[in-house]
Amino acid sequence: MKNSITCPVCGVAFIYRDETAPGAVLICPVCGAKIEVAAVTPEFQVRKLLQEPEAEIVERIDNYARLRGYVFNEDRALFIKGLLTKKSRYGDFFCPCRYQNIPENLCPCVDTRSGRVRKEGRCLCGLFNLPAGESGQGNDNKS
Amino acid sequence: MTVKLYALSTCPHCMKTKQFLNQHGIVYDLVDVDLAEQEIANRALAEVQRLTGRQSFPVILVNDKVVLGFKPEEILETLRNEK
Repeated sequence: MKNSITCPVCGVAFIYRDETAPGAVLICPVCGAKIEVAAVTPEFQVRKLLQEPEAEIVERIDNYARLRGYVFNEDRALFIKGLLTKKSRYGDFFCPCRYQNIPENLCPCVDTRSGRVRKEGRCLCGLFNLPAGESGQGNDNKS
Repeated sequence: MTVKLYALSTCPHCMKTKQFLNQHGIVYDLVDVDLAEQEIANRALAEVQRLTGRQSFPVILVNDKVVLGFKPEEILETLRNEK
């Protein structure tokens, strides 16, 4: 079985090869979001898994960090607070350190997903970081 | 001496900068750019861009000296030098 799935959160398509059924929950390998299989016939359809906001963003960033091998800095709780404020004010989990609330800035943002952490050691915010001892320029506490 | 802080209300480094300035009893003019009216926000974004070459937060302006990011030692040193 081989299905092309477009993540309803990050909008990136990926191939899913395992057997699945309606109601199954998958994790987007690109952004870490939880997505639910809505139908498999006549065509494969997915939707964002309905979750409480805090569970949704905590699980998403935890999944993303685990999939990429990143670690959080000591301010993880403040980031979650900022992301939840963005969600309540602007309707989605836009980066708490960016002024613009646009799809490219949904956490984890396009900049982060494009390799910034590998290049610079951290995402713009500093939420996602390379583990100690790996290359990168480290955290300079700005957004 | 005038101290101005350009911040985002949701940004953790900005939260820590505010806390730091408050703990040190520093009086400052705060612009939470994301909470400001559009005209004020646009002016603030243009000023941050002019001062730092990008739109990053927090920006601490001590007289005409700029500190970009939450850097406690640099903030204190700038405050000492500008007194």
